[in-house]
Amino acid sequence: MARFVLLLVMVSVATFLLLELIPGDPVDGLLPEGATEEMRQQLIQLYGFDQSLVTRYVSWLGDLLHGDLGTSWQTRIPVATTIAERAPVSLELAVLAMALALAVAIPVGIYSAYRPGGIVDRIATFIASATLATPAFVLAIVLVWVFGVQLGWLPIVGWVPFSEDPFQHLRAVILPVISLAGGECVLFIRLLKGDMMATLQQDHVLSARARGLPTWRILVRHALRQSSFSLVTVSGVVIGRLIGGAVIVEMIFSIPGLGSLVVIAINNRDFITVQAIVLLSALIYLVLNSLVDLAYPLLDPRVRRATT
Amino acid sequence: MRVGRRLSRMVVALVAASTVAACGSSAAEPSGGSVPNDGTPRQGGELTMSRLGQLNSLDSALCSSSAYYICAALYGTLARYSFEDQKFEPAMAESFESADGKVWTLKLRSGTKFTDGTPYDAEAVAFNWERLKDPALLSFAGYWLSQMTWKVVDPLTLEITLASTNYQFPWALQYDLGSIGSPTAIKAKGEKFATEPVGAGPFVVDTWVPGSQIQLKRNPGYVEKGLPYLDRITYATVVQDDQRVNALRAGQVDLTATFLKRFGRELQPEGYGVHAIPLFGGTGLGFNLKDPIIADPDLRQALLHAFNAPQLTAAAYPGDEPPDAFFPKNSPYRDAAVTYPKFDLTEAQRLFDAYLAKTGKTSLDLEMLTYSPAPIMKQVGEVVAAQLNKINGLHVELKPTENAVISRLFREGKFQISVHASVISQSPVTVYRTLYTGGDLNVYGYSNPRVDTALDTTIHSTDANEVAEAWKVVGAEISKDVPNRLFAYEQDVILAAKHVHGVNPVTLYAASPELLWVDK
Amino acid sequence: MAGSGTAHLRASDDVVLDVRNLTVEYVGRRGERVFAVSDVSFDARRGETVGLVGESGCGKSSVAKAIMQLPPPTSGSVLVDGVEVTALKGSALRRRRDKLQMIFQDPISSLNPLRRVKDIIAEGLRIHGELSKGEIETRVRTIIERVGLDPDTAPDRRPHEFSGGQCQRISIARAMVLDPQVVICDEPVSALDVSVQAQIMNLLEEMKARYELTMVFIAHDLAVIKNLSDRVVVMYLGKICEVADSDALFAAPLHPYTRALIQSIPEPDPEAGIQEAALSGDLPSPSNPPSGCRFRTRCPRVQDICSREEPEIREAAPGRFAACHFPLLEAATAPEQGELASA
Repeated sequence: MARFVLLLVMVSVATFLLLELIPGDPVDGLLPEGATEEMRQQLIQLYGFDQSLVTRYVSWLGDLLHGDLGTSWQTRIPVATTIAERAPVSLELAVLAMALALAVAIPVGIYSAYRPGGIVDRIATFIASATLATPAFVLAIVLVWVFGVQLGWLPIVGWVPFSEDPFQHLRAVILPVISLAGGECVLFIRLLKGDMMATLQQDHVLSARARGLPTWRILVRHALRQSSFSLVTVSGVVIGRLIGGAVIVEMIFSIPGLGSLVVIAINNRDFITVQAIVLLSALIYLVLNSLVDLAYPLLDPRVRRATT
Repeated sequence: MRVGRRLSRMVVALVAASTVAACGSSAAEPSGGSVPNDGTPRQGGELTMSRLGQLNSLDSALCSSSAYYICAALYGTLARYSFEDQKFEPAMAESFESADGKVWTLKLRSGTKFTDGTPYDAEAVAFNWERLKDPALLSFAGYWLSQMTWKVVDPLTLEITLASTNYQFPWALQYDLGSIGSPTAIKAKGEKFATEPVGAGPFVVDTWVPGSQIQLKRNPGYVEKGLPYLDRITYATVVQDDQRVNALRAGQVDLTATFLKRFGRELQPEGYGVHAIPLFGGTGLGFNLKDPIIADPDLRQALLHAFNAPQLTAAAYPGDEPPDAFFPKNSPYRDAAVTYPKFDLTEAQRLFDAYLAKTGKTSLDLEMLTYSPAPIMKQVGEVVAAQLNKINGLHVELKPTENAVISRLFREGKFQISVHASVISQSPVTVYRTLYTGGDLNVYGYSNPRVDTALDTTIHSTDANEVAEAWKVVGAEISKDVPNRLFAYEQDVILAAKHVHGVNPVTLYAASPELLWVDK
Repeated sequence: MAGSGTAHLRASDDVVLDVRNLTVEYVGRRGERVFAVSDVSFDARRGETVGLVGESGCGKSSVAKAIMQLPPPTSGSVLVDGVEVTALKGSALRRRRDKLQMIFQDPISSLNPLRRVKDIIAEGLRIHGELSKGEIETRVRTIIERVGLDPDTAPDRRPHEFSGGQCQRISIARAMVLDPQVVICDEPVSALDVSVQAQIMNLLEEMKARYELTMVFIAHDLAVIKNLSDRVVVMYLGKICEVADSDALFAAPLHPYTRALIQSIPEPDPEAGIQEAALSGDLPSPSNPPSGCRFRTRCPRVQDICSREEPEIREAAPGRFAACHFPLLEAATAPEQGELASA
């Protein structure tokens, strides 16, 4: 716990300093064209850029501890309000994308390991090598072209909140989720297959077969859990990445999540918002990594003994 | 019209141009305003327009400049520029008149009410304008606010006094000063006004998914009789240009906007309405005339002769005509006799050698700024620098620089050459501010009495011929002095499905929402 | 040596395990063909323990796995209690599996680390059995006790909480609970501490007696086999060299390879081991075995014929089977002399 808090403090300092490193005076980027020097000075005062770095950090951190992420320089809306609106969207996408990626990767990974060189493995390997260098947004663009423009089955604009119309919401979610899941799925299959093949070499798997257990039971009950370490570790990283960083996919599908917010905030030089999102992403990573650490003993009781 | 907006325009234009270099279409440039008389407007119906920007605030102070389309819908605008008639017409205001271009009388329509029931009156206008002076609002209206005073004459009348004559003042009544929110709501809601706006415009918010789409419905109490035509209008954010056009083709949106000329070329033959809005200025090479080295006219001539516009156009803007003067070939303001110095490396070398001899130097190093966040801008800068470096003895070094730093260097006059966006506006006032001696956007330190006189005429005169003549002078002088060597003209294009009518293409890629109608 | 043939097989009603012409080939890492087991035949009577011995890499573990059908052999026949298991597929094979169990070398990796002991032992019963929950529980408890673990604490613990020897006890319980006819022990003690080895060996003996098991006991170390086995099969590079009853074989090996193996057993008398050149050189690659007799490259008695002709297994002396052109008959026929000579 102490380590967690220490990391948080370090992250907060790093986040704060990061923006200090950005070249130029933050006010310069904010000022509208043709703004007077007087207005510039007013803004400098308003946002406290005339104060020392330490003073500003302390006051920023103080506000932060009170849950105040500041007010957007651009929209004048509290940053916390905007993030609260957008975080659930990114979270939903991330969770659905993860679920889809895992739902595909687990059976395919298991089967590829069970029958290496079999048809499933060959198809998966082919797709993996074909898409290895393809970023998520290329998949997104292809999906939009096929399902949105050519077939017209799915919407390519507009985000309908679930509360408003669940069906339309799902329709709006499908393509972005597939785009996000695609690359991760390939990664998951590779990881799972590798670990699974190693597990299947172990004697207890042979023994399970020797005792006449059905194949599915051996693969799922005996081998999967033991082979999911890498998968769980990487899943933690991936879901963190998806929550905070589905930037391009969110931009392509115009999804009001954190990814598109950070782009707008950067474009508008709304650094107080950028700062908050960076901090939040770091926090999400920290929490997820801790959760992954907590998950290890559940996966393998031996870890519990090793760490305690 | 923040630097950022211009930058994003340049970048998008370049990216799109370079990625689709192969599909150069031979179709003619779309002509401006191809719609006007397209039938009798029909009441009812709805349409969806896709938009570039994500909308985070609906505050009248913020959106009037950067999200004009939504302000126009929620708050209306005091004045409305009619593209077809090339003049301003009353909108929320009943009239705006001036005998001398200096003292203006703004009359509001009687009985106009905000949707919270409070009166849309002179006091409300005055309150809104006063509010814009708050620097934290980052309003673009500063230029006007600093040179005007106003007083409330009676509940429906304001008297505005400008520091000097300016017949182009109505541009301010459409854009920077044009959107008026309910003072009661602004005071009562504080920060929440940004998400719960109260205006008197043709539409009101129905549902809003911040960052994605906003659905507006007709304001039955809108002051202009019979308007708006539509029952509903939805603005959906689609950040990517290709995606916006995809959505239009897929029938998911009815109206969209782009500043990529190629989409106009592509979609016009397919039967879509293509409404181009010609803009002043464009993207080009800016020179800091206050810099002791760049100040030398012979040196600048040398550089201009070394610049190979057709080569850059072919590389970065395939399909476009390389600019050869401040005004494009189809402009009525163009003085055919005066063009930019032509590409002539021998002449460039001769002038440069003469410059070296004159100054006793043996070689010269120059710096050229370009926007660093966009790799494509860096590439354009590299092409230009390589062209200039064909001159023996000259070394131009490209300095990719962050936007904020560039704005400061501009403000402080500390640069030599810059790849940058100049003017890019529908409003002549922006040209004035950019090229007039001491103008607030005049980053070049450019000063030419003939240009100043002509620019004065463009805002002082009400005689169309006189103004046109003055623009010719401006165009000719700028093409000769070249404080900014344009290498791409820019334009906004509104793309509309066949069933969309009443498109009044105004800048900031928006159509006047109250005039739109559909026959579907 | 190292030959094919079936001369050593016994025609008897009480043969429970009958392995004939077993061949295991697979494609190696570099795409080469590996001849792990070539035409191996042997049998085991009810209650008999057959020791299968040879250096590592000789194919003995491949024989074990092929008998277990994990995976099935490339060719050959495996009869368990008269049933041809290589012909069984899918669920028929799975149902038959409880007759044939295996105990692995590595006690740690042969137990699923994530499961509790009681589940590890009971799982086979649950899958196969028509037994009720209560019956399963009783049987699991009984077997845990019989293998020498505490039936009160052991069932709910997981393998990592036990020592290697205890894990091997769990493995034995897991096999025995299914009431098998044949148990294949693949080097079951070689990964254990010497002090524990004897305990496990004793336990296996005990189990064998109690359940009338037929055992195939695989080891690279003849010393381990010596006391336990009734009959010994010596393998070299995928082939059988010699088959004989345990006592006779140890007293007087017929095959030069068997003798070399026996000589490599550490003995108190230092002179005993240096009568003839001990085994030298490396094991040839099973993907490219020598022509003729596979042992010829390391055999002290090698002649021209050994590279041309593969020796078949034949009865070189009564009850003594060897695959060698030049068996050590002098030793077999005159054991006393040999002993005197060495004394």
